[in-house]
Amino acid sequence: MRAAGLVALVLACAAVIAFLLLRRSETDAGRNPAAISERQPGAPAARPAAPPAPVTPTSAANTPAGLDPVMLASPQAAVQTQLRLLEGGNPNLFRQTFLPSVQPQVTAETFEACRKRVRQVPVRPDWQTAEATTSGGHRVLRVSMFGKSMTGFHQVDGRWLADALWCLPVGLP
Amino acid sequence: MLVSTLVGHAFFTRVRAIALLSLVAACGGSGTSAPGGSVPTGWRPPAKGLWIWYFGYTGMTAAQAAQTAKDAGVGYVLIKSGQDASYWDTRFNAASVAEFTSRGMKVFAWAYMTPADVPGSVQAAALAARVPGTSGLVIDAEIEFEGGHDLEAQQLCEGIRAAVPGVWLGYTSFGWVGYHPTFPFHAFDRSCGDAFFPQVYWSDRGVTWSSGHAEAVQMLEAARLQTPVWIVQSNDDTPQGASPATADLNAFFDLTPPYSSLWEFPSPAWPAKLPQLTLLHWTN
Repeated sequence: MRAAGLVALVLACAAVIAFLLLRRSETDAGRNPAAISERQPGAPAARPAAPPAPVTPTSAANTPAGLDPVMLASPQAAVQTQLRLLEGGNPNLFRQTFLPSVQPQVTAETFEACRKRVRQVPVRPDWQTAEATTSGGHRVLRVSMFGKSMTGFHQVDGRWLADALWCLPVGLP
Repeated sequence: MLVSTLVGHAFFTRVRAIALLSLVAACGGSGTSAPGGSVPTGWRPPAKGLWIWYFGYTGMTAAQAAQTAKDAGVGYVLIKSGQDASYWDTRFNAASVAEFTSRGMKVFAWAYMTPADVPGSVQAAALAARVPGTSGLVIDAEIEFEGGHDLEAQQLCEGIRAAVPGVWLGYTSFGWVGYHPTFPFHAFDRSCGDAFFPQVYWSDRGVTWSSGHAEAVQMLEAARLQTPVWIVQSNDDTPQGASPATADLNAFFDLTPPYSSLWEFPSPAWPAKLPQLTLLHWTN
């Protein structure tokens, strides 16, 4: 009986430790971009502040994961973050740098096209002539990325999100 | 070659214009002049052109960029003057234009425009066209004009012509016109038709200069546009990350004199491209 009790105690401790480790792992995933880089392509991006969802197969794909808001703290920071994510090959986090309405456009194909494009030409947005406006109650800064079309960066919940997949080649052919 | 054909077609038109102007001048009349500078009617560039986005992008002042262009042998430059209803007087002004004209180059303003605010765009374009030393204005119209914006294209061009009588007014857009059936090429052709600068960016597309040129010419022929063609190539890298070879850029230039041009004055972020400018066949 004593031995059985000891075994039960050990198992209980192991369960508690496992639970704590699991919680820690999930929390890290929400803070460390690299930790969530394996999220399924195409899964909708979730906001970091979203409440924990029940653990089901569906919601597992939507595990709260996001960029540190500092990485999108300004339009300039957002562009640098986008370039880093393109260079690093992280389409899931890259998707989160765009407005929700634009995010579905970030696919494996468009992500690869963007990676190629930013290697073809220097990305030197013309910030000096950027235009500040508002849209839907949000501040927007519109800037020309390559001298042609303007891309708007919308400040949503403290994060500046792009309203266009500016890195796709336009008009080719 | 269509380009030659069109240029040739334009040549006879221009010959008539020159003859008329000569007659007017002989009778004591004055030659045409736009508010900003000379109208290049019948003007044949001594050398090819170079597009400039903004001087900050080049890492140079206007004077430095002008001297670099002159040293390379550039014949004319196209400098961005604004975006839609915004005219950038701190960049495209008499002083910056004079840096180029004083070194023997013609200067054209180019403005990226969309159908969003035609009246505002007309005003901005007029301001740029009136800058002293400016030889003309080129409207850069691209994806925003696709999908049935013929009326806005016509209003934009006619508005600019009304605001700046005698202005030399061209447009630039997609290089392979056949892939853009809903772009109002014909509206621009009718109303902004002093020159069409098709962006035949073969390196960006990842095709050879010869196939890119050939397809562009074939599509231009099929489109039956009347505007003289001032064809543009690019020094952007290929999708594979390779820089276009100097020999290829030169082959394209050699085939498309005298009006062709290069997009764009390089950024120092691509250091190898600046010395390449001096190796190109600018002179016609």
